[in-house]
Amino acid sequence: MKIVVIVKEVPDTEAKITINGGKPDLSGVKMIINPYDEYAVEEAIQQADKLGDSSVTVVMIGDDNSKKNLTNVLALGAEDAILVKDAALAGSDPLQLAKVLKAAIEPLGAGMVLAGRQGVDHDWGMTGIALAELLGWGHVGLITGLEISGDSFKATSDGDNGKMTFEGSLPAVFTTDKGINEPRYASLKGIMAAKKKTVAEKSLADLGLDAAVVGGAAAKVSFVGADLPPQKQPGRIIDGDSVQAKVATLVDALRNEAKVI
Amino acid sequence: MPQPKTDPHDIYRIMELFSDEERLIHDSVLDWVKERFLPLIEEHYEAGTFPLELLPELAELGVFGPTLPEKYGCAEASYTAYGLINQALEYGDSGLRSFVSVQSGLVMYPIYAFGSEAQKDRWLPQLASGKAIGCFGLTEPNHGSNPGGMETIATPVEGGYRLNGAKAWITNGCLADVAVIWAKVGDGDSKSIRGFLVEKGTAGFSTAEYKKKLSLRASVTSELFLKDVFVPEENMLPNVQGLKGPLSCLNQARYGIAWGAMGSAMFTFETALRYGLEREQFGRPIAGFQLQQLKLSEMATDIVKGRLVAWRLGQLRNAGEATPVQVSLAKRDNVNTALRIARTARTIMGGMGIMLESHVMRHANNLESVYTYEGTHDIHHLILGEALTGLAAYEG
Repeated sequence: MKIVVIVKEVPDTEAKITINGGKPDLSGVKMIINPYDEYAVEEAIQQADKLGDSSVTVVMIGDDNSKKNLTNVLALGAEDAILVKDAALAGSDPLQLAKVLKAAIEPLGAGMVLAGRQGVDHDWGMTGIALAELLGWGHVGLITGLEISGDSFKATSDGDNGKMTFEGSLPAVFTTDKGINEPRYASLKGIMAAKKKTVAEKSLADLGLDAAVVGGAAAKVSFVGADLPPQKQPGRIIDGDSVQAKVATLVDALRNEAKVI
Repeated sequence: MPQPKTDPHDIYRIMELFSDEERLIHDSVLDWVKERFLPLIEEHYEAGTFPLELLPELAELGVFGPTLPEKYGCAEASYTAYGLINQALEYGDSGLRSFVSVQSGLVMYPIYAFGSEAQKDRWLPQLASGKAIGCFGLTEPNHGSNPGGMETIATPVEGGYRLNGAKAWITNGCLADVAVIWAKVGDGDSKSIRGFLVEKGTAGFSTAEYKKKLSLRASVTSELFLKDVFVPEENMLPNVQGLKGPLSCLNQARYGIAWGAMGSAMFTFETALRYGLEREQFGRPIAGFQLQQLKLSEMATDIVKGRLVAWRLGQLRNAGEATPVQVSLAKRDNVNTALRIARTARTIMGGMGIMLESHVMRHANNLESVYTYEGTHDIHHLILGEALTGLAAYEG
């Protein structure tokens, strides 16, 4: 089975990001593979191993700098990659990106698509779902378990109050949650093998897409600005001669200042 | 052009000197060390044990014999990549790096370079996959800096040799499935030294662990005893004779140490810098005081220089041109630098610096061993001294 995994780049979660002119200043910030997508990659590789006679293709929308991170995914065990890059895609919204991904993925004849549950940059969590809708495939989100048997699947997802199980038929799109597996580290052999693997670069024209439809200029939703959370006010230490006096001051503050009791 | 901000961890942008592949290898091993190894080290250091439970993961990463050919299950990576692996491992602990140095440089390398095809086919895949552990027996209780004086003897007998003697300070000795033992054939001089593969469980071969070490506690160090140990002819390394055999192995391991020491220095520097910025005295972070900034500045400068030496040595090694003198200089000076930095980091961290949980004194203690093993600091000065003057100070 051909298994497709879609990944995206996000700013390093360990980086300190500053806001400059209302926008996050990403200059000098390392881009990494979205952590939720790492679970999708691992699941794709494990499923391919289990099914046998299968291979994993990675699809990413990115730019010239994305090749390094793509190579890293190839080093984990994916067979090849497609990198869609086009300047017109700057600012495209998730629905538009799903249209781009559909055009890149449809010709591959995949049995399933895996993706992280959401990107940790904007936390939209839409692309995988929109892709399923556009492909006309089934979708299960936030999966923490997946079993494939012939053309059918059983997927589980951990809800707040227990586990949910879904059954359905392939092809389908799954978005992965934390806990589904433990992503591997790239091995030296994998890294050495990755340089021999191919990354096919595609523009919007290559995919037969119109920038006027999927480009950022036509986005229905745009990211316009960000603010850091307001700084927390320092705490207040209540002084008093006795425990009784301190408790009285505290109760008074909670009742009359904070108005929480 | 906008100038990039100074990255305290790579002021000279040294990582840009490496290929994408080499950087990926470094990052993958370093991520593993941070996420999988560091959470376990305190417990193992205190218990005096090596985290053997991580052996399958180390093998899966591919850190054993990483420069050797793919047909033995190795990655065929560059020597620079091998250096970066050592740097990432010793960021964790010198004992972790020692384990890999011994397996790769002192066991897999001599089998690959001097072994028969049968020896290579049998042992290299097992050692690469961590299914077998190796150790290297050169140093003896009475012969450290002068290995040519060794007393271990291999007496030719029908079908092989009978080995008698003892080896001291052997990393992984008690854990090893195979020991590379160097011995004189007959009672000849150092030109008669040969290497033998002695397997665990061979009659007359026993080991004992050094307990109560205050350094390299997460590494197993052992004595090896050989009493009338019969080793069949086919277990002798056929393609090397004399001191050249063991010394060329040491050259491999010392190369890795030159890089590893910088990993340790980077860890202790980063830890002290972070602490200095968080710890406040007199109403401000102590990193703002001049005496602490002098320390941090010297540490950062020394790390830049040591890493550049390692990088240049790697280039020469990739081209097959690195000389033992160049390797010796880098081992000696980078370890000395790392030890100084670890001790300085401890002073910046004050009382916290002596705690196991702050890790810097563990590094400093480890480096006391690294300073002495694989050619002592002093002997390495004599190697360079001889190269500079043509006069060998260590000859009687």
